[in-house]
Amino acid sequence: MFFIPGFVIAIITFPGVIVHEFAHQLFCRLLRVPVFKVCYFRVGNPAGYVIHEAPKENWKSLLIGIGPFFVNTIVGFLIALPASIPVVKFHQSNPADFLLIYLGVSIAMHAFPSTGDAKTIWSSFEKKGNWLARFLVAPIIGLIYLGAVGSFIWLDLIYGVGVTIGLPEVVIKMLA
Amino acid sequence: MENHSAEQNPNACIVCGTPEYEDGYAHKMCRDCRTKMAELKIPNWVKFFALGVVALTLVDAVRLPNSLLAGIHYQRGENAEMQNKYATAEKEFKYVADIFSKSVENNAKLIISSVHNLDLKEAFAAAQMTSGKTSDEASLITEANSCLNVVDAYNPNANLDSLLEKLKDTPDNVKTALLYAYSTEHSEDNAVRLLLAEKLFDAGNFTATDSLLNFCTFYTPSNPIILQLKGATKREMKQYDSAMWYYNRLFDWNSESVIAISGKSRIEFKRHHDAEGMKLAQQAYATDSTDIYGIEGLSLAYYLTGKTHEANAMLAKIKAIAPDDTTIYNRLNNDLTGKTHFR
Repeated sequence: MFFIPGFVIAIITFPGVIVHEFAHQLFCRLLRVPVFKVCYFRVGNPAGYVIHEAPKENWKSLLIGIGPFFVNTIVGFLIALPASIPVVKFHQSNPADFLLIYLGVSIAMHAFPSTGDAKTIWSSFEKKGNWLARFLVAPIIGLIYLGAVGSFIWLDLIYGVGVTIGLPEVVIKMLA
Repeated sequence: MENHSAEQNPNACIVCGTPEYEDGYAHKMCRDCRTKMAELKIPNWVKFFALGVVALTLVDAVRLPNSLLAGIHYQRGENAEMQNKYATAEKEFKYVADIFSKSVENNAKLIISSVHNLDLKEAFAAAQMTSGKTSDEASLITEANSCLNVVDAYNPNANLDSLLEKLKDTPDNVKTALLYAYSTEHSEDNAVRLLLAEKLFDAGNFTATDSLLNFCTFYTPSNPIILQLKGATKREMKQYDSAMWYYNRLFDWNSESVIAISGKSRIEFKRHHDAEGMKLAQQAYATDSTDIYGIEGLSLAYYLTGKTHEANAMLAKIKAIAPDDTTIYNRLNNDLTGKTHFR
């Protein structure tokens, strides 16, 4: 396993960071939660962030926190789909195909919410939630941390490749 | 406009200073400001970036329907292949080849399925497309090559080719004698034996055909080309059970073998089991409506059951599909016009 500093990965996969932050912002907009500042991309840690008001309802915190998981996965899949079948299945490609697959993988690999997102969700449930709500949200927080740890073994990249290359294969198998 | 700051009035909206703010939130904000802040403007560079990605995706997505269909048909071909249904598999891989003609993997699959259907023209055309190309799927290429080897042994080599060219205008009986002489000198050449067997079969010398094929069978006992000719020969020798056995062995090679289904239909007609014969002839045609051996079988079935109009329509279809292939057309035409009698 080889190590590449996080900021280098963030620079290489910057489209994913932009979509990740945009997803947080999108959910804030949909749930009418005021946003004070959005940094779509920067060279630093974190590579992007959204500062928003803590919502009154815990479920809103949860949706804003995990929004990128859905948005980045769907967007990454849709962008790579037209390119992934010709390239992966039939080995017939053009330069645009590789660009789209790069974009798809970059975006999908940033689908995992960050540990910062997990902290925000947890603090919201800690302040306002009852024990049942905390009990239900705990596995999600656990999964987010697992994802963060997994990134040391390139779990985020594996997920990105899975969404862009593996998922079209699954769709084809289901349609055939 | 006057700016009411929160410092001036701690119970006012922190953005615009209006005293009417929405209660119960972490920050004191009026309804309008809360909505505005929720809809914080997206910078232009992000919009342009998104526009670029969307445009690129849409341009490439023009190919998506075809790619998706090719992927689905390829998968269906693989599924059929796993079930030994090579007529279906060949149809599916042909569909993909129309879209991705240079795909080495698909052409390899097309070789495998068309060899299993004894569609040698298609197999050699696909082999030409893959010639000199490489693939990561080494086992697939090996399988395609071994399939080609099965039928390639029966392709005339350069020596035989030049002899056939020389004998082009020689009368048939002299040609057969000369080919016999050649086959005695070249005992390793299966192609000449097969050619001779076909000539003997066409001449109605079935006992000689059978004994020559026995010699071929000794070398390649499960070769599908031998099996199909052996089935037809045994049928004409009225050894129907033996003929059935050979055709059934073809099903081990391809459960959708039109040659085997249509061959069995011909046996049933020879046995005067017309209803069963017609059923099998229709089954062969339904399996692949472009296979001329299957079309010939159905035409014959119509003719033998008194449906001459349908029989002639099938004869015309053979001419339309394979205008250069006169052997089957002439053979069928002779049957339909009463020059020869199938039974």
